[in-house]
Amino acid sequence: MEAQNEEILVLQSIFTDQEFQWNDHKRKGLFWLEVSVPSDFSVFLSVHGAESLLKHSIDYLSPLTLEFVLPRDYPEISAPQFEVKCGWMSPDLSASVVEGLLEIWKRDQGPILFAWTTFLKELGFSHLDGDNGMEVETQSILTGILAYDQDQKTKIFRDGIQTCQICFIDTCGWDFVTISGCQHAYCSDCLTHYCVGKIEDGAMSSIPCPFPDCTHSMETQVVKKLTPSSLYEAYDAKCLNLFLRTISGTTWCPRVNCQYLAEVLEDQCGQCPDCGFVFCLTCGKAFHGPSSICEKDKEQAETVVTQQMSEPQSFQRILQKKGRMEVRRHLDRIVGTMFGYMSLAEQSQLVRIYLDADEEKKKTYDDFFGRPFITYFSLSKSGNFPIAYKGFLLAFQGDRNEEDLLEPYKLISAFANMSPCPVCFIPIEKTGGCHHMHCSICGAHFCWDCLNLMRNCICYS
Amino acid sequence: MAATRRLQKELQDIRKAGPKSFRDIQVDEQNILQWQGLLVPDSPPYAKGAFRIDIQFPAEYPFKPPRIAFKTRIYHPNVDEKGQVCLPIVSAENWKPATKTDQVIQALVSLINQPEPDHPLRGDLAEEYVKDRKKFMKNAEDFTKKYSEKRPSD
Repeated sequence: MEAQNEEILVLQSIFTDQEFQWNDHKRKGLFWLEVSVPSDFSVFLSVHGAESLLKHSIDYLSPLTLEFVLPRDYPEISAPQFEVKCGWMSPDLSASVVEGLLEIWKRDQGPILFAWTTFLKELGFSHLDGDNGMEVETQSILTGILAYDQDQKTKIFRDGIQTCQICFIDTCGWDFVTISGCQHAYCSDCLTHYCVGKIEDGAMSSIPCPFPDCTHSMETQVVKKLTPSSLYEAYDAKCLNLFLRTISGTTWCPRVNCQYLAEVLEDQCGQCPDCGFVFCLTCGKAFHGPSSICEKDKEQAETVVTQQMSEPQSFQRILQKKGRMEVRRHLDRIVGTMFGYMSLAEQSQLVRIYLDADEEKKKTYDDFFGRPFITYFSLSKSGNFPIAYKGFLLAFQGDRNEEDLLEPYKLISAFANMSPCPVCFIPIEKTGGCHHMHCSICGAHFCWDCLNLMRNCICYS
Repeated sequence: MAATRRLQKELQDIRKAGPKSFRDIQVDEQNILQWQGLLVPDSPPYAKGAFRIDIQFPAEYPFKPPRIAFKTRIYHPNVDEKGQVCLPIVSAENWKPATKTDQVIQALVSLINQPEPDHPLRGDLAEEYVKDRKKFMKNAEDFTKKYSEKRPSD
């Protein structure tokens, strides 16, 4: 017993409380033996004996534990009862460890505990020093190793003083927020400011990591935590909206005060899940049965509009009777037949030539196409239909109201640096830079000069 | 103010590193948001001159990108007559707040050394660059001799 106490006393002076614990009453002890991991060390899963190609680089491994109970006749006669535990050791290795510890006992037959700890640490090193890193047998072991490594890294990062790469201020690691995909971390003040700014600037999809060239995005729950809830909800709704736009078989509820996402049913019919409105996809009014009725309606209206457009008064009457949306549809159809044979690029070119032309040249175009129509066409290219529509009306009544007529042309020049995205048709304003445009709504990369997708653009190649 | 503190640090770091391609950095004591410096490219036809540039940082820096403009005239497909340059790294769309000014300057220097005729601000020069490289080199060299600033001697 005395020899045992003496040995324990020595061990207690060598190891810290975190490394070694001793229960005097139960004569039971426990070691945690840290294994220092070589640099550039990785673990990988063995697949049916072959090496897996996917290697995970790690910096920390969980400690080995050696639990032992000292019998009364230790160290004179019996060896301690012991158990070695380790989350990452293979059964083969465990067996050889046990064998090794017993061999030391057979050799020394005396106070053995310190020799055992040394053996275990060395074994750890010899096992880890392989060139390829360490092979593990099951996915659950691998997961455990990676989780421990991550926890340790997080703990060490949080306990230290870190420099935020946005504001360059040194702050305690606890104040940092880490983006899990790329592990880039920034102080929460900066990240909040960044997210709020991005959302206020109209972000509609995931917010990218602030690190240059990093392609990871911030997780939505992190963005949610950092930003005021009203702002986040608006952002979330925009993201959803953008996502839903890409799904086919959907449309928007035509009721002005609803505009919820609605489902397209068969037979030209749509239904809004929010207000329950069932509507005709063509005219936007309450569904009126099979599509033929609406088609008839449409044809009739079209002939009437086209015929009566020569007279401003009757046009105004149609407008009052049919509503703006209806008239706009007809205008679109007429302009579509007039200019539809041109490619998008040719259309844009025509608009640009028309806008840049002097008064005399403009008159040639006006005479050729009809002033109201080319005005409508040019203005609608900017994507702003109310203005295009106003321009049409003013040009239509042009002879009598010369003063008013100047207005749409002022508007045209204001929209000269606008163009719809060739993919999603959202109006885009160009404020500077080269012709390579990137649509933030649909993500298309296109050329401003020819309105083709960048990969099809031959303007400068 | 976040911008001031960060810019002080960045300025200190850049001055300490003393990059060869960006010299003579002048910053108004009263207004650290306004920098000027001398761009010293090392590829022909610009290797015989130096070009003064303005870097204007917004008050919201680093959450909004700096704006770069050439003060010295340069014959380059990616710089227009007003001195504006289209540099993706500082576009509002692509800007990342953790991007440092020295990375921006590096990107600018490499664009000047290696023009990108596919994304020109001056289509005429891009065409010349692609179709008649000899003529472009000659014109650009003459232009550089005529308008650029003297290169620092060391």
